[in-house]
Amino acid sequence: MRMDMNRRDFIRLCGGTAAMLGLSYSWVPEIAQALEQAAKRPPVIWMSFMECTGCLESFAKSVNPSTADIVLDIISLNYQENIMAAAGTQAEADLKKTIGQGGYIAVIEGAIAVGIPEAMMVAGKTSLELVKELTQNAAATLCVGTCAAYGGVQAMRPNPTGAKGVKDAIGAKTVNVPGCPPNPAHMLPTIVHYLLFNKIPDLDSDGRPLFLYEQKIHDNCERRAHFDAGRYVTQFGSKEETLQYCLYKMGCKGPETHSPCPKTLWNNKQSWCVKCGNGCIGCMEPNFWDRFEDFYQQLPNVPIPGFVGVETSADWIGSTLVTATMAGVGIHAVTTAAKGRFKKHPEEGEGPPPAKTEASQGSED
Amino acid sequence: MADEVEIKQRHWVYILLHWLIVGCLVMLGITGYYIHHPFFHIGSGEDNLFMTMAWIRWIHFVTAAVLIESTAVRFELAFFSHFDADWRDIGPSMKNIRALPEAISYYLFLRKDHRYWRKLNPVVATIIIPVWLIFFVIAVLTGFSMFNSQFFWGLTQTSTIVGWVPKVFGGEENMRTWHFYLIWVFACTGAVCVYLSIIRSADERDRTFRSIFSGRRLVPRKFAPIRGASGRKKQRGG
Repeated sequence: MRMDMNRRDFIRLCGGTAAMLGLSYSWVPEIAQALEQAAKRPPVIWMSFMECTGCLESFAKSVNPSTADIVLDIISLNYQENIMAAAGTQAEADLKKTIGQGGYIAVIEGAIAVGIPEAMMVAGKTSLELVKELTQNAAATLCVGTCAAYGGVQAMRPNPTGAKGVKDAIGAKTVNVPGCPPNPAHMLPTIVHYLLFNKIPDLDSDGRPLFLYEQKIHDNCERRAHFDAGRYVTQFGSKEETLQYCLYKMGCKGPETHSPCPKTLWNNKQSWCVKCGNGCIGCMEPNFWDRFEDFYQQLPNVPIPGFVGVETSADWIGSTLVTATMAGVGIHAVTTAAKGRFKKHPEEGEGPPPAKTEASQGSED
Repeated sequence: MADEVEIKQRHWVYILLHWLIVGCLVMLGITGYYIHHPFFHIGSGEDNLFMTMAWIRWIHFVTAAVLIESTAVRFELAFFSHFDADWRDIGPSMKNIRALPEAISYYLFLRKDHRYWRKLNPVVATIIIPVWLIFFVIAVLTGFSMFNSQFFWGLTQTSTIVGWVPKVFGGEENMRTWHFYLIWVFACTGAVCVYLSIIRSADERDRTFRSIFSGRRLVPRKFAPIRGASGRKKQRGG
């Protein structure tokens, strides 16, 4: 295996991958071997559908290993419309040949148009037809980005094209590496897991590898100590923001988002959203565009039953409920007083009123 | 009073459990509201090391555990207690369901009197108690799902036994909202429960409200328990 990295860098890559997979350092030789065997280079087809190419942009920013190392040495990227050298008939022939041989890893980027299939067509075929062709002989299907995994921004209400994630669109078992965009540091360990164990990793109920997405951002956040101490940013541009207090009150979705972002970081482990001063928007979660809007509110507004388009906060609903109850109790108390039920009975002190005694005819059973 | 006698109607264990549960609900409401909306913190400045939110959350979790335990004990005793298995008096039993129209009529001023209710009035027993139990189950499931801890042999991890709960609510943030609503639901139903008890006491002078402290209240003589030949108490009536 010839790679444009020295031995030390290669072992460092293997060590980092072992850590990401939750394996001990003693697994490094096996990982190195898996990557060596990968020099036979498992074929990969990367196909894009309804998306913004941000996922590929993110993948292309991978530093250690570099995108060139991954594409040229670790995997055999047989088809990727943006970066492949081949074009036209030759590219289509490569695609057909790889699909025909089977055993490849299908990497899918972008949502599938199901409601209006013609909304996304390539060479006369709809995205639904193309993704079915692509996944039929695949050894594993990897959905990179929230669009491929769950529909993403295309599936946001009112979802005019009926966009869906790959699993929902065709029912295939997929490994989801969500994110808007996804982190390349999450993609590579997922592929290496497959190469190492020859099976897809254990997944959570949203199809994400558990070894990456089990914990919440909130549990590993660098500002967690401020949360526990009750120190919060309440306004952007304030002194509290300068002091990098917790962004909980600014609508940070870290408590609801499963992702290792605080540990893996972004841009060659330089930074991540919260470190930059913005709360997490939960981009690793299904349908986060709808679920988490407004991104700067602590809890999402909820629709009022019977009033289409009217949404309000949980606080307002709760306090209104209590106010209405108290008003009801008050009105009832006034009426009770007006009816004379609070007045002393004439027989007070001598026994209960005769009417009560006569009325007490019920039994306990 | 000629036709009423004061009896010990609530066992001290039930009084203790009642106040334990009430205390837990109040504490959970306060700490839960703080977790939702942290409106204060103890100490000031960056060097302040007092972990206000961490302590509040700790109190919330411990109180929740106490509430679950005490509710489970009360539930068990209601059915299997040797001293007072009172599920027919405090739950939606046929007796209370049959008495419900009469009770509603009484509270809506459509009638002046009602039959004898041993403990809870039928409105609370058939409506508020089931609502509380349903919301209690929701609170436990959503709470454990958010807790997402390695404790309890990993049973509360999101990916394991309660992993389905966020899906039911349409996502974790909606589940969080529902969990937050519980504060208001318990506040409203609790207020109604206390109010109904107060006006019943005020109207009937039977010391119903006082009995939740003392355990003693006035009941019609014909419903007072008597001692049988075996020496065990028997309930009169019905």
